Amino acid sequence: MNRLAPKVLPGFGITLGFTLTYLGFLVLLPLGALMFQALSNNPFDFFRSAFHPRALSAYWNSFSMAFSAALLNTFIGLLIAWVLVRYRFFGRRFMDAVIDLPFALPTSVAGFVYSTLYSERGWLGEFLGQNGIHLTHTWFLTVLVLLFTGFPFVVRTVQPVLEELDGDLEEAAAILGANRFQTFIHVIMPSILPALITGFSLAFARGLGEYGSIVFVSSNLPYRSETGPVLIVSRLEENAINDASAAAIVMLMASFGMLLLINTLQKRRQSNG
Amino acid sequence: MSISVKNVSKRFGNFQALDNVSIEVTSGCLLALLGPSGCGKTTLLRIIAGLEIPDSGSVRYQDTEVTHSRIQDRNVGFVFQHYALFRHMSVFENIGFALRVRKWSQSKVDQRVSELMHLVRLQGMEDRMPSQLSGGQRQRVALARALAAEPKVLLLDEPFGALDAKVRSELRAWLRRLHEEIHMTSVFVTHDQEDAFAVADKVVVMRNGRIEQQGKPVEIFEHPANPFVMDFLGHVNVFHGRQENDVPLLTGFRGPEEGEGSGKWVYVRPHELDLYLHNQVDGSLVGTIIQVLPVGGIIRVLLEDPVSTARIQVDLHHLRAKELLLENGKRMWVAPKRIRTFEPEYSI
Repeated sequence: MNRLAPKVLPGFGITLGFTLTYLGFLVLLPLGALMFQALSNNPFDFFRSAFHPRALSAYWNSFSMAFSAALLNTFIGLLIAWVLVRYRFFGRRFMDAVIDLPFALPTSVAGFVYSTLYSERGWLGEFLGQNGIHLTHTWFLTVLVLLFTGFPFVVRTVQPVLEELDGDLEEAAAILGANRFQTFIHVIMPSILPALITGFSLAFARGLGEYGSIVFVSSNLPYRSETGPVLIVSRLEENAINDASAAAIVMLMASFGMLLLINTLQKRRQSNG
Repeated sequence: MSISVKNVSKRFGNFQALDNVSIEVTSGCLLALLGPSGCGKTTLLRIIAGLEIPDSGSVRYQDTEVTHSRIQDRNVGFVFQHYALFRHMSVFENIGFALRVRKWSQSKVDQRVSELMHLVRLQGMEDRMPSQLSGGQRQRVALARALAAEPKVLLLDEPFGALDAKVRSELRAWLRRLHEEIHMTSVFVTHDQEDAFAVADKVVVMRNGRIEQQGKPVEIFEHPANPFVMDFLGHVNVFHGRQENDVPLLTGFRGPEEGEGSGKWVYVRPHELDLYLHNQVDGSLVGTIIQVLPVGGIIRVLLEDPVSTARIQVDLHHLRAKELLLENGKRMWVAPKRIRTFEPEYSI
């Protein structure tokens, strides 16, 4: 390319420079410091703390809860997005605005509200308790609070795609003899699947990193209900900085690997058509 | 299978899309719904297909009332204006969709799809995605897909709308030949009178949710029912005149007596006017040539009436044009070979 030829979009140098600086300061530098901290001791220590049984159980708790919540959110989010896009009803705009609340609300507030509401003396907890259902400090309640913090991701990623969806396609499917279910599976689903997967990944990543709400609703028992982020904080409080950073590295790598895998699968699916 | 639409009306809010419309499509006929945008032609097509339910009136296929029957049960083939191909499906999957949802066996689907690929001349493109096809190819895939389940009626919404001129005329000829092969009752919507006249057995001209005229293309072209139809079917010269002793008098000339109609305004098609070097015909109009354009097989001459400064378009055979030695600024006498008169009742 002729270096003297004027480019259509000027400022490539300065914008790339800014991007790199930004990424470096805000993302790479802290992560590098974390790596350095974790690996500054001998590798044996790192592996011992990273794969300590308590850590393993915390990873499992985090992943299983975040995964379950994200999966449920995918269905619930799709349903909500569908209702918001497809139907016109009184209060639709209000409902649309309410969707964003979990984004805005501090998660500790969500955790606090959920734990109070479902405690033995809370409104819902009392009623459920009378019927023999005790949710306080259960796995279920933690997933419930993760559902709350994660569902806007699915709604907000699927909603625009549903809105853009060409009505002709559904009419074409119907005229070709497809019933509503067949139309949904063969025509609508393939179009919104990429957005749905993105929403799932975002909700999943959100659940993995969740701390503020979980400390309130979970019993946070080591080996049993403690999650990764909670473990890291309690290690820090114990002044076991190396243990904390080792766990952080594992969480980071695992999440990164998971998101990378989802993205790769999605890319491959798209290039296959 | 014949289609019969009786007294159908449809409103969208304050907009009367169709106002008491009735049409008959005989079995095996290829009918064109022609009209400017917003005239209700697409709404009528969608009502025939079952994509819209009319507010009143009925739709029958042969002897069966289908006005309210489910779209899936009607078995009509429909080609959408923008094709509405399933983007994530290959050509093969698109064409086979209607068969798959009907739970045909794989071998029967394969056989039927390959038949159709042959019919629309797309053999070897089974695995292409819609995005890898040209406009004309997409159109043919959409047509094959619509024909897959052997519908009794084929409906096409602006089938040539999104194509360039050359592909358009090819596809037009091809569709006409296809229709002669399979003889399926078909209705298509178009705003282009050339599309309608090149392809259809019968043309229905619509305006503002009403039918203005219906009949064979030649009939409509030769005997337009009103100024709107006349004007919509191609360029027309309008001369404002008045009636005297049953003969329309024009600002400059008197038309030949074999004219049609009894109105005050005289309508003459460009090819029905002739130019003369001298005043040969009684009451010719004088005009100054301002433009001479060769358009296809004809020479299009634009003249200006020096009195009224009205523009007159005359289409001449090129031999006739050569004879007359046309050039800009030359004064010529204009006389009609044939005229029609209408009452000045409409405005576009």
